[in-house]
Amino acid sequence: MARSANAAELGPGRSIGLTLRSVRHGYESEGVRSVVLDGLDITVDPGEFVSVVGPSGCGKTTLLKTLQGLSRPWEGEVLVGGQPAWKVPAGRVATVFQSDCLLPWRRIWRNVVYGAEMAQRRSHRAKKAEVQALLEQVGLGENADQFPSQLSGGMRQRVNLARALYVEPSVMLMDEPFAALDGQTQEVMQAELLRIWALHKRTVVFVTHRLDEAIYLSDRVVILTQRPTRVHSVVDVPFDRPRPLEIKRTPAFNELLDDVWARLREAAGSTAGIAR
Amino acid sequence: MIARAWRYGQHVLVFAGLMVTWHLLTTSMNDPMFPTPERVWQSFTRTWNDGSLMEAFRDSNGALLAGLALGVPGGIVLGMLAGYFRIIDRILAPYVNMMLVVPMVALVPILIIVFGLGTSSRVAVIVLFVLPDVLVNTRGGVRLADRQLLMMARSYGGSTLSVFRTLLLPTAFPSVMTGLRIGIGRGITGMIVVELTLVASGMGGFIMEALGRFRAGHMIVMILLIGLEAVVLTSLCVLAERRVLKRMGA
Repeated sequence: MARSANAAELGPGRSIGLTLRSVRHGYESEGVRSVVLDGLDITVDPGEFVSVVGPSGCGKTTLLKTLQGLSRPWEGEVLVGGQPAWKVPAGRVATVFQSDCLLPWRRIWRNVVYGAEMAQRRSHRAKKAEVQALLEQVGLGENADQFPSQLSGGMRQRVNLARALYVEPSVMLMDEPFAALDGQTQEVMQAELLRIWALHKRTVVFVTHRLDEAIYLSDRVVILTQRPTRVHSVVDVPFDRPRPLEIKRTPAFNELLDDVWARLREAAGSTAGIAR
Repeated sequence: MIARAWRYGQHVLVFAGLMVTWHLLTTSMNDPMFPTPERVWQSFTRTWNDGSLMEAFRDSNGALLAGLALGVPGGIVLGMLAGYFRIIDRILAPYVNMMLVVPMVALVPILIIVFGLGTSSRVAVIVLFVLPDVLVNTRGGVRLADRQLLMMARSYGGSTLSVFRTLLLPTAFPSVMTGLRIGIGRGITGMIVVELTLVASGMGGFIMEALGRFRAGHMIVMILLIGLEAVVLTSLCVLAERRVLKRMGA
């Protein structure tokens, strides 16, 4: 079976690292190949929180697709825990999308088990009680029996997160998960994400347009260039954890923000589409 | 409570008005081919008591049931496949469009040649009447599925079958029910058409026989029964849809 994995390496609940080695990838339309990723080298350690920022259209989505194993790169290697990404069994890498992607006809707790149901390729006969603890962790202890339409945008995004956590992934990929929320809810969700992340310590690759979000959340920030995309530079974030939201208001934070901002401007060649 | 009573009251009033008009018209004409409501009632009690009404009803509906049992699942499966797989859609499209436009009645003689004058040709006609509408509606419903939800299910490793079961079927459900409702109506039409034209049995046969004996009352009784059946069946569909949607929380 192509999808069987090295169990010791990829057992549920264990964080694993990611390696991209000179990855070249793009898309083909009407016989014309367009390069999106042009030799990407990124390493993410097990349990590390890494954000990826870059100019609009720099191929962040393409990058996530290769990490999910949904598309194989033209050249180079994408390794998840030392194994090619497309060989990694379903559910080891979970993605949290910008849109909350909840099924409107399922109650909240049944939405949370949906990912596990898909990953195991059979009907997952989960009990509500098993989900309850996780729902309480994400602050939705009271909402198990509600339907998505009864929840606010922030709460729905928490369900999205819980669904990813419920499959006990080794790696979580997050594609601008808070972009659709209002500014205040974004900040709350950032702090919440760090709190929940500290409980699970999964490897996270977090794609965002917001530099303050990237810095606040991450151990390292990877800055990508304009297409054809390469890694411009990687910035270490020196702040201790746990991080209160207040550090965003400190001079050290703003200095780092300015630094990343300058690098991004250099990487983009222009400042279009970047929120400070 | 009063509003509710009034809603039923409206129906009763309109129905009573129709009956009175019918009564006045037919009495003034005094023609046996235009029977009065009283004569129709007599036809009803007679055919009910001698069992011929219910026998025709059972006979036709046996064929209808068999036709629906084949046509509805067939239409749902083909519709789901056409809604999801582009290639299947492309291949099916010309035939489906043809089936929707060409009067199916024109095919009845050919089906009789193929299946003979028995039950199987009646069932085949009903399938042909039912299937296109169920198919087209189901296909449209599947097309409504949210691309982002599909991507999410895929990213968790959902197989095509589980995506169908957990995403596409619930999304398409209201459309499937619409198709079913239209399909049942068309199925009843197909059932009567084939019995009227070629296989003289069941409810259509009952009408033809009444025509041969100039029993206009019998004909009207049967037409009313067909109408009643159609109303009951489609209302059951609406009711079933509402119940399921309520359970799904929509």
